[in-house]
Amino acid sequence: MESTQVVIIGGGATGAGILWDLSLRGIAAILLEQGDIANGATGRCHGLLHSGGRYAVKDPEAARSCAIENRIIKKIAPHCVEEVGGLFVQCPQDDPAFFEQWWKAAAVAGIESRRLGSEEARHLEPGLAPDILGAFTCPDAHVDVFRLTLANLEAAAARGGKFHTYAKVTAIDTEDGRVRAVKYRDQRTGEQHKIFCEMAINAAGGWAQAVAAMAGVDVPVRCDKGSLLVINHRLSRSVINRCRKASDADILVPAGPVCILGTSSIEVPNPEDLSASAEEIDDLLRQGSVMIPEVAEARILRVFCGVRPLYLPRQTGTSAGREISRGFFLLNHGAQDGLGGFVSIVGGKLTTYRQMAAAVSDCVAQELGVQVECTTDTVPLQGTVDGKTHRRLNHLLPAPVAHKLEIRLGPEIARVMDAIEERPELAEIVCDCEMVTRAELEYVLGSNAPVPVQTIADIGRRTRLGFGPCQGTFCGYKAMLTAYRTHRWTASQAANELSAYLHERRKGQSFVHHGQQMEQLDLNCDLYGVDRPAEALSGARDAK
Amino acid sequence: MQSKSFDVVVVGSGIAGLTAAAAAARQSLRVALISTGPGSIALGAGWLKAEPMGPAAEAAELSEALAFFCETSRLAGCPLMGDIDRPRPMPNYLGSFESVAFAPQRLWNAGGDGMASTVIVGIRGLSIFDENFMAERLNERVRVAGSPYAYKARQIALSHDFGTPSTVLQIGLCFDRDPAFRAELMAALRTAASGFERILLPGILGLHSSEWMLAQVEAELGCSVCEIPTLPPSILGLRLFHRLQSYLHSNGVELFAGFPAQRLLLRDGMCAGVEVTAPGHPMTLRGESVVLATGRRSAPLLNEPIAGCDAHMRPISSAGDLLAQNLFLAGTLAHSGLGHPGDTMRILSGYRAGTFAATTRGAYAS
Amino acid sequence: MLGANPEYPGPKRLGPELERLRREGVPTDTDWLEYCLGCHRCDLACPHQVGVSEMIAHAKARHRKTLIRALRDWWFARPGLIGKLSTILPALSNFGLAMKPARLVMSIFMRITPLRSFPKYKWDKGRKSAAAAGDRPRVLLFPGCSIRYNEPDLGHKIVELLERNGFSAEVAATECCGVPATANGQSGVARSLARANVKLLSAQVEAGVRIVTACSSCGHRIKTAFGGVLDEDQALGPKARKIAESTFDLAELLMEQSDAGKLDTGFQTTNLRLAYHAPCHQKSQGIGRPWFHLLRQIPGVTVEDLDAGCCGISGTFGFKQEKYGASMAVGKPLFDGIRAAAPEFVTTECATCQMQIEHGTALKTIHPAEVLLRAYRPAGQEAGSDSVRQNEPAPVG
Repeated sequence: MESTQVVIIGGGATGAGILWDLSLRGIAAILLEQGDIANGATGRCHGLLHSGGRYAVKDPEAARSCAIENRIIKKIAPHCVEEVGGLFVQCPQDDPAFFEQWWKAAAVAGIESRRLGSEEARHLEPGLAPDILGAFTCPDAHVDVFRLTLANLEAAAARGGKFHTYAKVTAIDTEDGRVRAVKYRDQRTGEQHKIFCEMAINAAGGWAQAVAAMAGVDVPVRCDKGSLLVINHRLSRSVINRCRKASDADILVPAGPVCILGTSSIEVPNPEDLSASAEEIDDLLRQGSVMIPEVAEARILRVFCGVRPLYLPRQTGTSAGREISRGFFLLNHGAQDGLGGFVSIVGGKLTTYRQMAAAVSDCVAQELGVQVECTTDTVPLQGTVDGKTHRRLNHLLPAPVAHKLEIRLGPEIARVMDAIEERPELAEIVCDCEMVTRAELEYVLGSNAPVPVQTIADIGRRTRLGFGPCQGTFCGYKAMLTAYRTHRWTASQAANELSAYLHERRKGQSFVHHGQQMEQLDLNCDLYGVDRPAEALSGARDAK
Repeated sequence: MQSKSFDVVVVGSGIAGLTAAAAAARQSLRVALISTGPGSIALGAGWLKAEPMGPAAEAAELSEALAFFCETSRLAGCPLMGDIDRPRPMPNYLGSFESVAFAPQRLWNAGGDGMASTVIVGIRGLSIFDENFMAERLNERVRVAGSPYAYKARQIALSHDFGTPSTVLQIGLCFDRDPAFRAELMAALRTAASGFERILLPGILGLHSSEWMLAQVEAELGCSVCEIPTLPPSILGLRLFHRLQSYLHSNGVELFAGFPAQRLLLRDGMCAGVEVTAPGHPMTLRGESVVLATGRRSAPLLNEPIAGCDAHMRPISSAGDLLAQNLFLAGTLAHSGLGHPGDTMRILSGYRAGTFAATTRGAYAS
Repeated sequence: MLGANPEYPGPKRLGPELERLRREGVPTDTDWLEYCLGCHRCDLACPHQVGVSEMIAHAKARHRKTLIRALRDWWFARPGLIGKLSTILPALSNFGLAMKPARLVMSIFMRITPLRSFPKYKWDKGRKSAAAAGDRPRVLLFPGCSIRYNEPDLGHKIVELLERNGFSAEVAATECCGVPATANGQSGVARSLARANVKLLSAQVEAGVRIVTACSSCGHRIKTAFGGVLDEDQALGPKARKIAESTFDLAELLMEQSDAGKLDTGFQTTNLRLAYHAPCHQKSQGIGRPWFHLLRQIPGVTVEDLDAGCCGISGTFGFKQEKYGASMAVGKPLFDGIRAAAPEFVTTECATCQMQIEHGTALKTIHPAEVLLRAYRPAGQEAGSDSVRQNEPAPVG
């Protein structure tokens, strides 16, 4: 039986941000997430740290929020952010009036921007289409969504915050109009658990409605699906936005060694079993190539879908959900539904996750009588690496590997370096695309890792293993062997994990029904010698 | 003598293309083989998997085609052996058994599910092959099957520093070039294998080893030697591919490896040849017959979708016409209606296409 | 290179993988870039025709070297300049470059291996041109630095060979093709050489003259529009591509005549056992094995196609002290193959391959054009040995 002050339901950026904020204020909290970290919208978006430019014209307040949060996140989590900058480009097909409106609106919202002529824009970004008329710069950036979520969880853990992944909430116990406990099931073992708490936070995104229903409360959430394409190398230096009224395929984000193009907007009944149709993908490519022609010929590594959980506020007239800003909604169910100790946070954007977390934490602090202010806007999420450690690292590993390892692990690299010095074979590079060493793998698989790993895909989220062109075909196998060798799994378990991993990786690639990645998939079939890599493992083709 | 004119031009050097080229070359014809990329054999495991059989009517022809392929591989110095009706289970690096119809001689004789005391030997630093993983997995299976023998796992260490990690290619090339290394490896293997009837090890015994050399290894080690194909590129696949390619080369087949075919020269119901992209100006290779064995990548070469092949392996358009009298399909292309064909089917279509292209070149009856 | 150097990362890592990371801003420079031999086998091997060698060439241009290597490679990038300087007083240059103390100094201060001899330089005496062009197809020989500065007589012989076989030919006064510049990471030099050559050749090509090369490295270079260094140039880029389309290897042209039945096959029976080595840059041109087929037309000549990979010298690569061992290791299978074949001569069309084979096997190595020409001569009238390599002792067999 666990007990705590606050249970947070949902392990996306918002939930993780709340855990961090509460831990800074000394409030005991436990976070429950049904899958691995960033399972929902957080892990399935562009990873765009908005400058606010996208909302400048339509929603100046949201734009201003983004502009402020953008600066804050770059300060507190620089290791998660690639400050690539962004452009809003004017295509000849688009409304010139909107372009002018944008310029004025950006100034109003406080977004730093410079106006560029067509030649200047193409000089900055040689990949732009020749008929681009002009562009505005803006401080857009790419944020590694998994790294950011992890950073919040790891920082919280250092201050006593607790969390359970693969923990699916099954019931919320209420008594006398208050939340008393939250029940959850361990997805891996099937065991049921119960946590007594004073408050429960519903930060479940696309599942918020289902979670609220467990408490007997209605939070209507509309699931709006967006599909995104991962392209195998960076086609641009900075984020490329289309300067028009928000529509499909408007954004191309460079993300590590790849880039991500999206997105679409299609209503779906729930946030699971998502898929992208061939038409959707073709449409994304067509529209994307208007800005960057090379998109049309690019090799797509995978397609993934995420759901925007859109909140529809009830029209009750009197105390409708308190709308903090146009972007997100904080619902204090004590006030509006007569259920004390239950708060839902819905809507919002990744970029403003901290602001959302702060709003929730203020509400929690007030209710629990804790007089500590929010400090998440200034406290950094990861320590820095000193010069001596940096030099030692670069002495030990080749430059690209050292560079990536330092970004991913920060001060924890000391542990990894010690391991490599003791056993030099740990310097082996397991994933060539993302420069992941065996040492790093053993670290994330080991007991020192702050957020435990259950599957090979989990390893991927922490290290980016399998995110490159081979999509885990080679490195997934090598990662499995590493886990096996550290006695994390028996051979049987390891084989099953690999099978599941390859199956999942294959799903995302099989949406791509043409082009080079399809050939890669077919090649993979031939290479493994069976129709499905999973079959080689299960021995489905045993003789006799 | 024309330098760019051939009796048969084959496009694609996967298993189907190589078979077609070999079939045409057997008739002492002038054959050109064009390819890009390594092809299915080079990237494969060096063995042919068992697969569901086609219609019974094809059985005789399939036997002939497979016998031809095995004979060709024998002449090439890398003999394949097997039985399409009685495939054998071969252990793979993932620790399960694959049903294999034909395998290199050593493997075929040594393979099977373990009626022999077996040791699995890994090499320290060669992280891609884990003898313990394989042994644990295989033991689970043979325990179920009631075999008296358990697989044991051993690891040897070599003094050569290949870096971290070492790869099968490094070890294989060193095996080819360095007698001292070979001696050290053999000594270590001998120690590890002593007392066992069979040794399983990753494919490392040289990229260019001939059948004779492998027989020597077996004699030296005093037990059956079964090289396991590793994650591609596997030495076993490369070995077979290089041997077949050398064999074709020494039998007069002109190889144009690395230059993509960009256009078929089709006119008046005949295919005059293939235009190939090369630096500067494209190269035109004229052929009395042309065989396409390019896998799924052929679509751009054929201007229209095909509805299948006629009895002579010639593609038919959806309207029912022959695309060309002297154009033949082999491999995956030839089986477009049947889903994903396996190796033996591709050999069959390669053999048929190559033979038809060779024997009926020039004028045809439909 | 992998066979010689097990830790060599390979073209996939040095090209596309590093490029992906470089675009992300990850530091990617590595000394391994210096070990790329520029053989273009990676381009042929890639099933998707990714320009791997070009990516590596760009990475080489960005690569930072030690001071000594940088200074040395500055010279190695400019064989045209060295050639021009050395042919002012060739006897003096040859003497100086062969002197032991000079080689010692070069070894210490420039890391140039003293184990190899430099090719001898020769002043071009010129040649009286043959009969008027008439309506024969005109071709222009792009000599390349080796013919221009080391073996001008070979250039004249090639003109004679072409004229004998139905062409009207002359030697162009062109600059270095730029391969050594790119190999040594000097992209600026490569570009200015390309510009100069395009300007020299463009008018002729427009007039329908074809360019012919006898050195396969120059040939491959020109066929790829000088390695693509002028792709961004609006004015000269298209011209470079036009020149590329009009460039042919000497053997290609002769084979063309042979296919049309127009080759002068008046060969004397010449009993000769030859081994042929196809240079890497010949194989990457995708023209088949024309020299092999041509030589076999000479009665009495047997040719074995060695087919033994790269010779290992890769132009200036093998002259670098720290790379000498690797270059000899790469070439070892070829040397072994030659010894096993035991020919009287080895023949290959690349001048540096010739140097490497003579260095590794002490067997005389000649250009195939020489073989053809000797075969035309009536028996008893031996062709002079003037254009055979003079820096290596005669083989003992």
